[in-house]
Amino acid sequence: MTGMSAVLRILDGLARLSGILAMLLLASATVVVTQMVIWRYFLGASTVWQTEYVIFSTTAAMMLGAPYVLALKGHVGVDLLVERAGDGMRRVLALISGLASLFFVGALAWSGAHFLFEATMKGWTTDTIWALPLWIPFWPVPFAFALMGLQLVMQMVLAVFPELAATEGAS
Amino acid sequence: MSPSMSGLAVLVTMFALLAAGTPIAFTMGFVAVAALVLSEGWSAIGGVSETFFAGLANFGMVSIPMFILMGAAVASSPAGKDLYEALDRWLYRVPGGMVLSNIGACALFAALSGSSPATCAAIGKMGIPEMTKRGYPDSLAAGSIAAGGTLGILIPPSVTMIVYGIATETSIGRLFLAGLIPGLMLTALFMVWALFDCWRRGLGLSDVTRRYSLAERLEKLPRVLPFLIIVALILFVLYGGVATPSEAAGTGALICLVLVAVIYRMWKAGPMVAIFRDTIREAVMIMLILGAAELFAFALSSLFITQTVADGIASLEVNRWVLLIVINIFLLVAGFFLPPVAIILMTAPILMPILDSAGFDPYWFAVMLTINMEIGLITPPVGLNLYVINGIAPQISLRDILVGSMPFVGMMVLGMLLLAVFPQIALFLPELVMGPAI
Amino acid sequence: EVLKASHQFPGGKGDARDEMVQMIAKEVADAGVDLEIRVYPGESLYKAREQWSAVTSGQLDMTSFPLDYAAGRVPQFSVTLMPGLVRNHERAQRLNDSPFMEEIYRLIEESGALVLSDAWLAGGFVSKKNCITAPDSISGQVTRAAGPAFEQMLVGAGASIASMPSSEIYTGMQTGVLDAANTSSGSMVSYRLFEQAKCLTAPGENALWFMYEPVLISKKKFERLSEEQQQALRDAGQKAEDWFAEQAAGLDSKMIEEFEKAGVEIATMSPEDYDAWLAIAKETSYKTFAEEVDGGQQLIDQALAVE
Ligand code: NA
Ligand code: NA
Repeated sequence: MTGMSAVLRILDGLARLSGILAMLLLASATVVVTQMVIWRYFLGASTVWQTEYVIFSTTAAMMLGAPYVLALKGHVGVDLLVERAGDGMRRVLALISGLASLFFVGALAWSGAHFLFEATMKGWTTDTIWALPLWIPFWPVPFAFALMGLQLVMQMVLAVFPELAATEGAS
Repeated sequence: MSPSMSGLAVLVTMFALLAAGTPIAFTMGFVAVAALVLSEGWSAIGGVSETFFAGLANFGMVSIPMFILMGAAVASSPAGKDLYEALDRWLYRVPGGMVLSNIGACALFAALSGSSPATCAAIGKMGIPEMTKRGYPDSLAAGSIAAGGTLGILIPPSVTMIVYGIATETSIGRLFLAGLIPGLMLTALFMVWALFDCWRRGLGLSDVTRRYSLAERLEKLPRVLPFLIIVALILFVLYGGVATPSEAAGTGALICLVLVAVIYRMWKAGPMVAIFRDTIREAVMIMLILGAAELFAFALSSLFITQTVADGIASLEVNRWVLLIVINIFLLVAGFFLPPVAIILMTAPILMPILDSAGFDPYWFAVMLTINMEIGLITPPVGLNLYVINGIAPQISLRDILVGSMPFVGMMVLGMLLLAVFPQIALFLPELVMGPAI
Repeated sequence: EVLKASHQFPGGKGDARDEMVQMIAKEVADAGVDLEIRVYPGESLYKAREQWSAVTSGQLDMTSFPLDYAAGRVPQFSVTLMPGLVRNHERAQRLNDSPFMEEIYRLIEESGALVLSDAWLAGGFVSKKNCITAPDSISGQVTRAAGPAFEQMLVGAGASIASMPSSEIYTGMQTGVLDAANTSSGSMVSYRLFEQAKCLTAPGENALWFMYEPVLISKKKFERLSEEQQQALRDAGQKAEDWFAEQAAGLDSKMIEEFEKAGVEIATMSPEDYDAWLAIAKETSYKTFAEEVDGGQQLIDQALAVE
């Protein structure tokens, strides 16, 4: 196994892991929200932390799901022109769209890492009765976007040098 | 750079990147971050993750994945097939009865699904092959499903209505109610067209090889029960004082998962994972666009583009109906290229003040907007339902799908005209159930 | 030079907090010190809760901001939405010149912002069942409160808490998810809660609910401005503050008017009711605040010490 395919495999594995975590978080959110409704409606009990749990676990699920969906090429775009372009043009378009995507994803990863660091160091919490440390719901943002950044770099490399993937496959 | 110049630059960059095949979420995100960096320097990047996160982390937004999960759970079960078969036994002697069954099944399924592609996929998977097998032309089979699927965002629950409610601070429960009668009206209009088209072509009678007795017709009805039970339960949760719409989404999703597991014995890991995988796939795609649209709206507002455009339109002082037509054309064109949620988030801050000053009801407008978005779903180049049909029925050409969809687009335009003349079609039910709007 | 000012309240519709910011913008423009303030109302730039980190980091220049929203960053700020700490508008004025507020100003400045104008907004209770006066009158009702400190006290009084954004209160009460809610006079009117309520507990002389919503400016930005610009901002801030102080009680009567027009019963709390609530607050929210927040006990003592 060569370097290229090893990197590909690691990124794929991470994306899949991230996706599984996303599914579990989403499932837990449906259970908690139902518990909250039952508690309040049938038992008349206070529901204090549940809303926040549902918001943050679902948001985390969406963040963690993003690299997984990127690996499945599930982020929708307009392929009309790309499908009609020749081979050379296709590489150029892939490079343009890859770089633009990378800029956005990188900005979010960087900004997210910065925010995560600050929130952790300064002990920020959510402003509710639960007062959950803010890093807990927030870490998926820098993680997911950093991972997507790496995936995008790989996708660009393979789009510009398709022969790399071909030779990898043969070895 | 003046706001109008920067607005133009944003528009051009966005089109160029979309044309290069950049995913919509990344396109909007790139344009937003780049505009912020150019106007305020690199330090502007510091705040983008918080804006992005805050845009998604609220109770209204998180109900979107929940409603998608609800639809995915039912779609993965044979419930859609049962539904459609049960309807067919009653409608088989009507010309085009099978098409009617499919449109009806789409409408019923829409009551459980907040998204149009999901509705399309759920009914189309068995509906399209059955129709072509019985001799209906490809175009009609595909077109009726593509159009029927769009009902997913008009008949409540609806993902686009949730996004609209959040963007305009209107009541989501009320928006849902406003969509119901127009949704049924469109269903009826679709059926009228299908009926007419089949009668015109003499379709759908020659294939009746057997007749169903009353007993046989009744026999399949219990299979529809789970559907009706779920719909009733969710309506009870929503309007019976049990939970807010956001909470109902999560509760509804769990109810559907459990019922599907129990009734169709799908409690094994495999089917469950498949349900969650489909949900994550669709929900993440939408939510990432929503988060990026949040940044996009922030950048436009920060550069004062939104305000300049809104003031510009407001100062035109055109007749309100001309205004409405212009807005509709704009939305239709936007719908050709962008998915509904992105359009709503990007245009709501501009459109709402204008509509407000022109005296249009926000709930009525939500329905008009949604039908506009429905048209966008079945027109190229970005028509999510077209992709779905292409995925489930690859043997049907895109051309046939489009030809089949066009008459239904006509029906939607007719529906919008009816709504424009009789706004009560949308407003009657919310006023009846919830009293006058705030 | 252009300053960006952001807030969450409806723009141009007479909301007192919007008017304060607009007034500062106008005064500063009239001062002719080459300073323009561009107002972004109704969350048209930042979301309500994002404004704190934006203004303290210097991304945003000015904001009218409910300070309790930043309690996750500066836990001491919970004291600015603490039940029974203010009581009425006259006392709010006296509070503004006390050591208690000195400490709040210090914490705000330490985080990177400065106060241009003080503003304390009153609020009350609405219920679909009965008038909320003494603590036992809320027992068993599903209530939406405005912040953790209130939630703790209400639980202490036997209410059930449902947490949801203020925009869902109306639907919540309408569908029956909520029996009661506790929010500002402004939200009571703008969310038209009079259509759902049977009784309103107005602020009056013994109001439990007060929230501090100052106009803030980024310290970084302020220090970069010229002497004249700074002075123009300070003057404008003072003017807006004085204007608001005159208006504050009027906001409450406007709310009462709206509710009366809708046929809602109006109640206020008696001194005995107020003391009974305060006793519960001391056992619940004050206690938690004193235990969990640095200098919490001292802040409460300082606030209660004000005549
Ligand atoms: Na639906
Ligand atoms: Na389209």
